[in-house]
Amino acid sequence: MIISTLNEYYEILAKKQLIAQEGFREVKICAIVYISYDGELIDIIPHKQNVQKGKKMFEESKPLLIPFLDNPSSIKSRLYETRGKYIFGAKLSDKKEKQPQILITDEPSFQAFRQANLEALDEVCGKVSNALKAFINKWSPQKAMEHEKVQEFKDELTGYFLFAVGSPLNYISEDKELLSLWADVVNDEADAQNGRCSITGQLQAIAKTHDKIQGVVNANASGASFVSFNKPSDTSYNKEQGLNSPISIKVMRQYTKALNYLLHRNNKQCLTVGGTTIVFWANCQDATYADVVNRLFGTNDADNSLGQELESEIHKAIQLCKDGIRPNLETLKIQENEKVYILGLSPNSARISVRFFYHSDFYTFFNNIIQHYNDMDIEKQANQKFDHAPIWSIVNETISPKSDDKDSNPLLHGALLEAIITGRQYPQNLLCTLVRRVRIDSDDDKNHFIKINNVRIGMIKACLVRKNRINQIKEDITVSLNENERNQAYLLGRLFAVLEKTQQDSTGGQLNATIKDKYFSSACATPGSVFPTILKLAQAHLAKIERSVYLEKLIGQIIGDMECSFPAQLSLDEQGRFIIGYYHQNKALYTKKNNEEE
Amino acid sequence: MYGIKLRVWGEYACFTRPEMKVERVSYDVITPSAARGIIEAIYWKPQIRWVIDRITVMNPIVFINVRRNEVSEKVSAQKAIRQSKGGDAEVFIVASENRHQRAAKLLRDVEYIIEAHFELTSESTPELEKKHYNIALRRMKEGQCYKQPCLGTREFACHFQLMEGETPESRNEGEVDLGYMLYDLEFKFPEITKENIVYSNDAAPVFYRPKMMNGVIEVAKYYSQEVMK
Repeated sequence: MIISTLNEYYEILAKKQLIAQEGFREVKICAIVYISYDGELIDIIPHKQNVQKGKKMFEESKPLLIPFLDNPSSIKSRLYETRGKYIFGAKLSDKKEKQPQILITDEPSFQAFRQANLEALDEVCGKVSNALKAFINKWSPQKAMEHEKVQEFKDELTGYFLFAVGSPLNYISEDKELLSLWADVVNDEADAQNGRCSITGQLQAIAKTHDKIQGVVNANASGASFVSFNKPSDTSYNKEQGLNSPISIKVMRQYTKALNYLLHRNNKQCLTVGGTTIVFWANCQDATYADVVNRLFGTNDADNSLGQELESEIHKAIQLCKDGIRPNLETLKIQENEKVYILGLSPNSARISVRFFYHSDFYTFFNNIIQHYNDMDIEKQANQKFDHAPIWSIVNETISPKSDDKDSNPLLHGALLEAIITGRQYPQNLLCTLVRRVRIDSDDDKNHFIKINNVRIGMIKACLVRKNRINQIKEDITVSLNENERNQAYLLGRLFAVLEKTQQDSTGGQLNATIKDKYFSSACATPGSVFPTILKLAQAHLAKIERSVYLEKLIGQIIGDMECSFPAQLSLDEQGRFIIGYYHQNKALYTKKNNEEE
Repeated sequence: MYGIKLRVWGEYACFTRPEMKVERVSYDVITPSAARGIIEAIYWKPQIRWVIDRITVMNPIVFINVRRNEVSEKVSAQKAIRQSKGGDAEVFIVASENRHQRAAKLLRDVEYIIEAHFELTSESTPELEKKHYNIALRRMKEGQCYKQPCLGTREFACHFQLMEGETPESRNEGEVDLGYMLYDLEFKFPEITKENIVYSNDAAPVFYRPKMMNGVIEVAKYYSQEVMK
């Protein structure tokens, strides 16, 4: 399913000419090797660009579209060789203590390069090919040791080099004669066995090894394989390598190209959530769906370069969905039955494993995300950063602000995203972690950290609401204060908020530490032991307030609504309701106070 | 032609896709090969060959992800032969030295109704068809099996029950195109005679392209339409 849909996507990308054709790839070239028409090395010219990473500018090799195929791990060369140690026959000595690395010869690599290229270039005699042949014949690893230019580049011999001839510089990647030879190299299926491809169903040459995928976070830097069989326990029926999972060479090249394209951060169809790298695509011709999805996930660029029109259309569609009406997605330039695919990938050293693969029509996906926004909807806080909290901000709330390790639980991240996309139950320990954070953390004015903020409360509410919906329990957990709610824990939360207000008012609002800092955690978990104490304190506070009628009435009303005495313990769900009740009442009290003053 | 209807269910299942065998990803539904394996675990003789007719997928398709520590090596067959002949060879794997972590994407809470019939092979005579049928029926009724039937891989054991009467309706709706799926493995071997029985390890996969309509896959129809070897 996954490989066949990626294959289809490749065809669409190829039609739109967004993807390099067969046998070409964008590769980072660190320098150009300038040779004369009779094969003399004239110069080695660096090929760099300045790239901004974070706040600093770095010098990096510039990428160039050249004929390129994955290099085998043994000493083997081919036409269009780009590796420094093969071209020059020189490499840096091994790293040893207290000894600087020097240039030494690498005879076997150079011989491999020489043989492969002379063989390939045997028949041709264009100017560029002759220049290349002359260079190969005249050069030797000894020369590399003596040539000052090679010494200059000795630290970069592990990078990729490209030959160029003549002036103005003609890269060999553009020479027509060499390119026609390249087509033969790419389609070389000399030792490929025929078999039934499991994707197309046709009898074709089966790929022995699959091209590498680059861009999955925490995987091997040089690329990891989606399909690979390198341990004996992975193979079966005595089949070797790629024959264990028959996929034709053509399909293999196509799906790996499509996946590499998606993982390229510039194409904006990739996001990283915890340890999982997620790519999404649709078979649309238009690129606007990528913007819409990024907007929904909150992964837009900081400069938010969505057009005014698109932004307002998205807003309208979100509103309609919230009201339960199906929006017309054509305003967002998305076809009615468009399917969207979301693939979550996770690294396993040199391999990539699939964490989840979600596919549905766009409307269902859109609706599920709006459902999540709805579930999380809670009364706004002053200085609230986002209208709809993006996923990373939710996950950040599960980390303790005092801990050194700023990484969240990666399983939680992936599970949360899956729950949002599919509309299923949130991960079980999300509620537990958030409640624990609210109870344990303390407000920190210096870092502008508030322990009871709208993101946390919103997510707690979302967990409870969704649990109720899936288990078909009818309960109304509202966005703002619900004075008709009779749930015990909710009322206790409200009561706590009122008592805290009482304390603040009794000293004229000057206190730094209220009962919230001292008693919140225990009031939440074991109200029976704490509430009698703080009620007694409240009486003392009430005595100091001049106009205490309103507060007294409110306290009396809440206690009157409670059925029986304070429960000894509250369950996890109940603690969640306590926190929500506290938040609602808190917001209501402070807005009312502002209204009174006005 | 005698057909049986078997209800099979389990907590986990993994019908591994051949293209993603190492980091296992399961197919969405059971393969006819796995269904045949379940029935063969209950009753099989060289005289019969089970053929799957129809599969009904009862539950919605739900995936979960797990990561397991497995072994990376296989015990060499040559060493085992050498040791059995009296030679000196190590026929074990030290698990702690050959660790290999593999992720797997499994199916959760599966339930299938498998409808199948058997055909007699060349080793049998037509009168004995009824005998085989009755034995198979009895074994399914009483829950007897030679080995525990499993859902794809052996660690996911399944429960089974003979189904009589109407097949219940599946919870899946609509038409789903399942793409190319493994139908079964075909083994190639030279002429077998009673004197030289040959064991073949040369297997080639056979694919078919099923569509699931309201949870029902007409295996027979899709296989005969597109026989792909």
